[in-house]
Amino acid sequence: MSPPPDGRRLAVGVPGFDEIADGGLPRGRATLVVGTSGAGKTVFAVQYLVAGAQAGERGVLVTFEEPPGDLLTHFDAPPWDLAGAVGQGRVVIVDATATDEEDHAELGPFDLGGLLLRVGEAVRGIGATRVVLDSVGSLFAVFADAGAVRRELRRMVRALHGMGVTTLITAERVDEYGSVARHGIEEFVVDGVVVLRNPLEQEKRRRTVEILKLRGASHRRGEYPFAIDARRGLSVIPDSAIELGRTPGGERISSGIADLDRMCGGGLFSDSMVLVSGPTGSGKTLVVTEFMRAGIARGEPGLLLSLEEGREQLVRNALSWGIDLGAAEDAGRLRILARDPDRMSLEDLLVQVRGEVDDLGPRRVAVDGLGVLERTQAPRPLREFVAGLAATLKDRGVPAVLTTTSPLAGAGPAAEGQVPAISDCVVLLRYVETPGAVRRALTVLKMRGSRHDTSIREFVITGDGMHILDPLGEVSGLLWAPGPAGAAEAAR
Amino acid sequence: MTGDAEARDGGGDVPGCRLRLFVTGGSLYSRRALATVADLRDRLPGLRCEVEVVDLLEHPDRAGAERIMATPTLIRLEPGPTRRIVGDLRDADSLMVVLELDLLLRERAAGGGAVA
Repeated sequence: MSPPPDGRRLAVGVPGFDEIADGGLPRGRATLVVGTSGAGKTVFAVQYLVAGAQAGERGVLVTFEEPPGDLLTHFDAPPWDLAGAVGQGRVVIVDATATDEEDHAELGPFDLGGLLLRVGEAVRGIGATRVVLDSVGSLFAVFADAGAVRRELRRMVRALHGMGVTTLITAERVDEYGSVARHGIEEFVVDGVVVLRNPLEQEKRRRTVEILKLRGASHRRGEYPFAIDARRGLSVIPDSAIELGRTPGGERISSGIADLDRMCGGGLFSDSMVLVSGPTGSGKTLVVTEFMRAGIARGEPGLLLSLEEGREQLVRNALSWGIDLGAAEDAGRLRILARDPDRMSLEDLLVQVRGEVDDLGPRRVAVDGLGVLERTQAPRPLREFVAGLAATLKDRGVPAVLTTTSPLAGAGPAAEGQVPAISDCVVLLRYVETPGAVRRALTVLKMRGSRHDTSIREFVITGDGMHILDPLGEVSGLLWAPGPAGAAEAAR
Repeated sequence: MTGDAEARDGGGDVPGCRLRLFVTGGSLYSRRALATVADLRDRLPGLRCEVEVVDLLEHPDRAGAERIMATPTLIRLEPGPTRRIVGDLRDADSLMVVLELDLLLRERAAGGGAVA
């Protein structure tokens, strides 16, 4: 969780960012936020001011690019209610955009004394503690004398430092991984540099934030994914590696399938993440549905995220197993989120899920259809999504069941990426060929922190759910081969 | 342009140019700009030139109202269109060219016949 407030740091108000920044921006200093066009610099800056205004602080926004009217139109509702903050007199905008209707010529040396005076007046007038300069690169387009602009910016940073305000300066960069910023701006904003990136990976935008340097104290290194969400604003997804190393423990809860509980040594741990892997039609969605039903029966709220099947299909399937998800939803015990991951980034999806978790306070969460992500997403975002989800749920002590698709025959967990490693418990569903019939089988491959039944059990699906039968004596190769029978072996 | 017509008909009483100069106290660039503008006025015989000097240190509100960024800034209000020149304004000759007052003077010398 966020570190305690520290006199040397000022919380930006971007969830997750303050965590990786060890509390926030260096107080009374200037931090540079750079990014390519569309990376989210202005959103970051506006959130910084609006969050400050909500905390009773005052802010000044010096806009070099977007006219104040446009800013007030774009940012007129939470979480970026700049218009509201301006209306309440908590934020003042200094219009430093170019006067477009007039010709502009330079004749001899100049300074930016006019701007400096205006900023100083605004800061003193409102009693500001937060100042944003967005984005200073525009000055280089307005004034031909780049040396003068650099010198004057340096002077402005010094003056702001002298006023004791914490300044956030945005600047454009050309390449995602090139030099820090154009025009060498980073050379005089020495207190901190934050990079926002928005690179294209496997045809999807993936937003990340990286702190290059931050004066005075430690910060976490490396790129962290972040999302921009109209409900919660910009939020960074901090690394969850430490929390993931934790062994689940404490209470046991029912998976909804009594036999599976027995196989797991008395139920699932109440803060564990369970991965169910199986080919299409093997019963993954049924396991999820049984898991949710057990919660519903206890009157606990649950959240079900479906990535492959639409809501209607999900409810219909459950009804065929005698489970009325629709009624549970009407009763406020369940929320079904059906999302098409082709239509949104995983960062956005994670933020949405977190939002639902915060709103609903579910005691059980299920994600059905992670397999579709494995097919459409790059490995890293997927791993971050699962890790971020796991961290969120573990933080709140909420158990989860995730399903992923394995090939129809054969192929072991190695083919399923990082998800099994993150999971506390892995349940495999497989088709096995026994003499005369194809049957469904199940085994608990892994159960962190507990003894478990390692046998391979046949199971059947009936009109009232899943029933686990006796161990299948003659089956082997459940993990790696299509089954013991000769036909499949011969096909190799 | 009507400004030219008035200047021709009304003689020296009608302002030929109207300028507003924003400075910051007695800074080096401000002093130079003031001197250059004074020099310029001496070189405009027969042309009335109104100059308003605004010291932003005394009137900081004017900086916001006129969206002044750089100082010194000289705004040419007339002849139109409005034009901004930033810098210490170098010297009167250069300033005259940048303000296009040399053209105005030549038109006058030609009896106003050179109006385009």
